[in-house]
Amino acid sequence: MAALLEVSGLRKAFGGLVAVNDVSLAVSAGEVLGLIGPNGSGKTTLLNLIAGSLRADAGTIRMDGEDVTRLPNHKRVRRRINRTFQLVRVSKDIPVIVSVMAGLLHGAERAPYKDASYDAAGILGELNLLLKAGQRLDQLTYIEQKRVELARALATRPRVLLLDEWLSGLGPGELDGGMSVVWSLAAQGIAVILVEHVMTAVRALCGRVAVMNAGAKIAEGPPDQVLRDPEVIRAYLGDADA
Amino acid sequence: MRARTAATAIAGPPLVLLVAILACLPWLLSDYELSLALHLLSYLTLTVAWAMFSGTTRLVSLATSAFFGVGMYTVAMLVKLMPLEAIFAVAAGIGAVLALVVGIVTLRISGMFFVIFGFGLSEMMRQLMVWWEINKTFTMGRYVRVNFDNTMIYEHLLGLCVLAFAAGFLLRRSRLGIAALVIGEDETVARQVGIDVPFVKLAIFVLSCVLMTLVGAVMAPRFGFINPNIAFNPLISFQVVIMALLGGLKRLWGPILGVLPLIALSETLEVEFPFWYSILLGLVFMAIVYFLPRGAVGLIDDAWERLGRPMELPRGYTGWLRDAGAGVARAWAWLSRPRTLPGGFTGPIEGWAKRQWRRLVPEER
Amino acid sequence: MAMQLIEVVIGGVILGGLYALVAIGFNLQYGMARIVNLAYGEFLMGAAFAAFWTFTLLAVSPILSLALSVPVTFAANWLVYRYLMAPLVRRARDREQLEGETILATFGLLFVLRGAATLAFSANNRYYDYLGAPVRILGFTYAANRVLAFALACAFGVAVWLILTRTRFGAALRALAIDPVGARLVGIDVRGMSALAFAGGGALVAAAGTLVSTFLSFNPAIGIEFTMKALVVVIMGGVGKMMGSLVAGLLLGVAESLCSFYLDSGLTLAVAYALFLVVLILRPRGLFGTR
Repeated sequence: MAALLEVSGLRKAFGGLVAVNDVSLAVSAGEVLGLIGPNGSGKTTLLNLIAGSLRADAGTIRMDGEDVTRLPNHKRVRRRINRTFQLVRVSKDIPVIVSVMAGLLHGAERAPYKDASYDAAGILGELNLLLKAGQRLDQLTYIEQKRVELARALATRPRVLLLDEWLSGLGPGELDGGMSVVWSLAAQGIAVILVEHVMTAVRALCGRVAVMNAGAKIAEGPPDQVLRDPEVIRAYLGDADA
Repeated sequence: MRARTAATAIAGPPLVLLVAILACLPWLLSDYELSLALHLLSYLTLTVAWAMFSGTTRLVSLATSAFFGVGMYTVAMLVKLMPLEAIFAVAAGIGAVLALVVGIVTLRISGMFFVIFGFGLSEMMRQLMVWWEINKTFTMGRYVRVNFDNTMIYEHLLGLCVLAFAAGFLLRRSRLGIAALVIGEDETVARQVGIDVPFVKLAIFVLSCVLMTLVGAVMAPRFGFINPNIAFNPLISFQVVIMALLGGLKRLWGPILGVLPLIALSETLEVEFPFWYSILLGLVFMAIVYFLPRGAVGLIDDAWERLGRPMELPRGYTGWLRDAGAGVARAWAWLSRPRTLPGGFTGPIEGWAKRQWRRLVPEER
Repeated sequence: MAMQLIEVVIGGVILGGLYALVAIGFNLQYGMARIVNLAYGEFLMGAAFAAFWTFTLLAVSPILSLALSVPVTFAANWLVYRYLMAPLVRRARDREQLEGETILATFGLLFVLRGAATLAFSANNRYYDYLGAPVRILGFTYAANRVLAFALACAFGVAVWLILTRTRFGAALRALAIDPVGARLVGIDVRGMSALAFAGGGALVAAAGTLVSTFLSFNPAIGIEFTMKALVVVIMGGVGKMMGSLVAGLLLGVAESLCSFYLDSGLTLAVAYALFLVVLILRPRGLFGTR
């Protein structure tokens, strides 16, 4: 199966600090790729590069064979790449359903205005948010806010979805629900890149895991194998001799 | 576009009727009342146009008078060359081009630059026009004498005003309007839902500025004599911002609440005490910024919400009795509270003695 | 022709020194205290009138009137910060909201001050003659009052520069300009320092107003023009960067001077706008901005 999203040789430096150094990744439709690594290893920067919030210094990003490296953020959304934010971006004044409608109206499929509210209600319904449709984002609980983030991203009809610690901060019971949502996304054929610290979720969901440390990719493979890799353990726990 | 809901179906016919009645007004009003109506309508249209852009994207535009002035001056310069309706079209075109230039240069960077640029724009236009008039045409001011009386001005303004409201109404129910709403909330999110942020801002800005330019153009015959100082008067920008903020930006009809009181104020003060008027406007404006950040609409929304809350049920006469009983009980408690007796003239001496004693024999802890 | 050009450029530098002073004051308010003060130019106008009245009524030299108008404006600006800006600073969620609200509040203040000045002094143009005698510099003649204004502007500029670079107070201010949160973490009284920076900016503009009044005619409406020019210069030179303001101010002076030589002296604001446009298009982070 040909990869849907291909990233090769991606590099980004902030001044002297190389946050992402020559990283290559590929993910195909329906696959969940885990992206793990210690804090500050460049995972979120990599997501920002793929989503288009930041411009890469070097390297290419190909979506379905098309080069999207130079496209701005909103055009990549229309090429069906979307993401959720690590820190939920809370809107104070607009109702939940409006932000989802905005995604439908301006995303990849640019739904006609008269359908937008119905479709938005459908997406909110799938995520058990229908009863919250008229509320403002700051009236919701943290978990609901995270789901609204996802709903907003799904409204643009992505084929590649970047989830930035979307499962973090959920309690044990909520984690199961969250995991089944991610699983169902993959079952719909969406390629998911999951940046996550919750290892149970990574083991359960991901067929493949890439590990980053200090901006570089240091390992890739099935989760069980990768997590036993001595270099990965060293990256997380430091040198045994130190 | 079909955006029919129950509310629009109910509100539609009365609104059409209202516009029809308003259209008949010139034949019912006295000259003074008509000129008052012109004043009101022109500011209402300007304010609605202003709110269309600044209310949604939250970028404060201080350039209203620049566009108003451009419209007015276009008429003043071309009035002898072509029919008035053609000039309006030219004015709209010039306004659109100016808005495009300003928007393209400033809107893609931070909001700050946009505000600053707008702040000085009208002053710069004034200088440019003064320079042009003195050096190129050797005049200072022009007369606009056309067959376009107050009734015609009124009807045109009413048309513009309805247009502005309709545009605002449709905008709120359209792709563009929702984009503007999300941009005003958070630009990062806006980009991430696929909105082309600079384009949306620019489109709405141009629309709003063209409306402002047209108001200036239509009002030109009303002034009769026009010079750069009249056309590019910064007070116009200021009044429009005040009216919009006083009314509140959340609702389409907010500007009406802001325009009415301020026009009343300006009618009573502006001609006789222009400087007091400026001071008072400034104070009103600061009061709005400090105490009424959501405008009159905010007050009404709050009141509406309060009405929607569960009310206390009427308590009947037993309620009064209970209150009376509680009052008696409170009075009794007050009367029977423990109190210190008056110390009389020996009191201070006793107090002093006590204090001395305490100093000598500290209380045990 | 070449000689004439040099004369014009030197004239521009002399004018630009004053613009730099106005802009440095604005930069203290915007870069350090984080307040966009649209009423800034009104204080310049106030000081100009103070100089005018002390000169025409009491026959006191405008330079001496500095001793009055600078402290008074300093105090007035301190009060403005303390009682008008501080509540906005306290309720603002982020920098953008603070900028928006202070712009609105000071826009209101602008009209209050301007209306009051018009009421008190009438809208007439004022002018007085002080040190109008020509002096020769490098073989060119300039009015003495302009040269004096330039010299004093330089003195004030150097004083500000020394305070900022050589004192603990100045170091704290610079820390404030770079990162208000970090400044608070290292124990700087952000609120108090901001108030002082704001007041200091006001004092500088009062000095500039006094100097302006010696060689330009003025009326209660000149404030906006100077505010605008200060804004343009500060943005050109970079927010919070005093050297940037100095260079950009001189640049604006020279550009204006060239414009009035080749075109017309009535187009000064248009020149400022043209420069502003060029900067916005080519270097939106300021002339010396880094990415």
